Amino acid sequence: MNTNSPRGMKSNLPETTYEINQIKKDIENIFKKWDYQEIMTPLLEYYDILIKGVGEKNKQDLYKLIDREGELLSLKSEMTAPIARTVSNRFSEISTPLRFSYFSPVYRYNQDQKGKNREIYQMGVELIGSNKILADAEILILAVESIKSTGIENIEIDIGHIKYLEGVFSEFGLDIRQKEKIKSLLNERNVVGLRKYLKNFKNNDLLEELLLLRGGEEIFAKVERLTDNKMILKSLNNLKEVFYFLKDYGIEEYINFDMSLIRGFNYYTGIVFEAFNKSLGYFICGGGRYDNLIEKFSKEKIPAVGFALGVERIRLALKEEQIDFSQKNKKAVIIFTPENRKKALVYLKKIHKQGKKANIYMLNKEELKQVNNLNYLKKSVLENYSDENIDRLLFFIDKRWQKPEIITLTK
Amino acid sequence: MSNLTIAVPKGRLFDKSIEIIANMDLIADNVDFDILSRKLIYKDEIKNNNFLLAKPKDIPAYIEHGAADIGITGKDVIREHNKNLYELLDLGFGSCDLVVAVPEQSGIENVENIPEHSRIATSYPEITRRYFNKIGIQVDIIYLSGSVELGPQVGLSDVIVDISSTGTTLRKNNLVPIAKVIESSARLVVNNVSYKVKHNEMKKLLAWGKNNENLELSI
Repeated sequence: MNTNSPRGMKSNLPETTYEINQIKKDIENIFKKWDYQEIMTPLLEYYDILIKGVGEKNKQDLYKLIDREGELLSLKSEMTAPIARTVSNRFSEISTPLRFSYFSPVYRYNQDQKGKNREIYQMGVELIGSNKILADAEILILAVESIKSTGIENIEIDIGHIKYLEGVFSEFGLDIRQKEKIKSLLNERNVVGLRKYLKNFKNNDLLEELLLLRGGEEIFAKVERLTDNKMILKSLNNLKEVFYFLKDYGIEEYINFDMSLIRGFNYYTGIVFEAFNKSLGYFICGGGRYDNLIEKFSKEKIPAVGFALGVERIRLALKEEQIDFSQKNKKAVIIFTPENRKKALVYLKKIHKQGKKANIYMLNKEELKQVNNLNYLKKSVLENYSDENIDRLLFFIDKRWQKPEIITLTK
Repeated sequence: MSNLTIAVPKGRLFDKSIEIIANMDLIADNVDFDILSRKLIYKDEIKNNNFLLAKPKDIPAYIEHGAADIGITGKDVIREHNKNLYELLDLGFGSCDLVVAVPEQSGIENVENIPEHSRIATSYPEITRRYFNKIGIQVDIIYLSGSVELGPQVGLSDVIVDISSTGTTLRKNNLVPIAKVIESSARLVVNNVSYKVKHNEMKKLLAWGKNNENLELSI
């Protein structure tokens, strides 16, 4: 008997499970604040439903089984198609947008890639029933906020637009076979193959520049200089407007545009995006707009936009950034007298370097009068802060001390 | 100030890889390549880049998982391992074909005539499987990590799929190539996130590629 778990599957021991739950809690909090309601869909779906989502070319990634009635079933490999199916069953007309969130394992039979998980815990949201740019912006803001809530600061989001690529294809008069070829090369991230293939077209330098464009806000002006194709400019305007929302929200520092972005699933129709952390080699989040998917399950055409986060990848990114889960929300306050300012600041740096949270607090005149009464100082500082996450007070109140006097707070 | 971790292939691709890396200005001029070739890890303080040396077929794994930002390996390896990474530049050297070859006396002249359930020895089981699936011949694949041309001589296999650059090894073993599966050469591969986070470096590398498209390397 083989007592190992099947390939790509693993049990999570208490430490890892605790970390996963911490991430889940942080992200759920954000989802709730934005009024997203959690839903659950079955683990098994009809194969035909799931294939509408992932596309024929990814069918080998699905775990398949046959039930006793002879129906072909699959383990869900992502959450968007199951939610789209659910919506098409239950909501024939949507008057106000639906906001759904989920936490669920999904299953992917990665054949070639050894050492990869085949059971993947995902969290995500779907905003269903709005085709507005504000909805795109809301989803992007939510993606940034969700990742940041876990403690990852070092993030970037790349945004592209499916209609931009279609615009480029139409500008160059490409036929369906040529479009599919280019899309598949972009999807494989095969720049060598793409550049070789583009040599077949006239004006291939421009085509290549338009396809491989990546950068910040400055790409808007660049594209406008390069082309006057209406479809391209329309999608660019869409991105621009989204960007202005993000700018007003104050998260533009995280945003880049990658016009070659198409992502694996073929249901996307508008913006697409992926997020990554600088210290981890994988993407941690991906999503986009899919206005035609729900229509495939019902007669109703219902626009939607959403994203999924990989919980394990977020956990790995947090490990890379050396964030200690048990102490993640805990913080220290360094309390000092003016003459100990330097020592306090050096110590603060040291704590921050360890990835821990800390604040500094310089004693005021009133407090300095009772500088030797630690109990009084403790009470006074905590009254000033009223923050339950403070777990340590570090005092630099005597010139002779090289190390702080530490008071650990217990609940 | 590029601060890249670069995976360099050991073995036959090493010399030209290092030459190209120097040409891209990623390694200091005064580095002794002989000493470098015997190290596993090396830090170039001047150009601020890290180097790691690995087998060509392991390089996609280092790249995919982000242990290195960029690396050099053969197209044959990239196709076989099917990893999630950017293939940024065709470096032109190390070119070879992956071919289907049969013993001279077999009389088989093209792949369509290979009998069903022939045994095929190869170090590229994935590429071989996909190739024969595509042309619709069912074959039994035997994986060998090297000396594949030995297969037909000892009755282990009827056919081989192996790399061939000049054809000498095949001829010496009385094998004739009957079909080309893929053309291979050395490629610069990049981690998905590094491509984005270190995009300025990537732009420089792409520009280097454009300027050196027809460069015949001197070695």
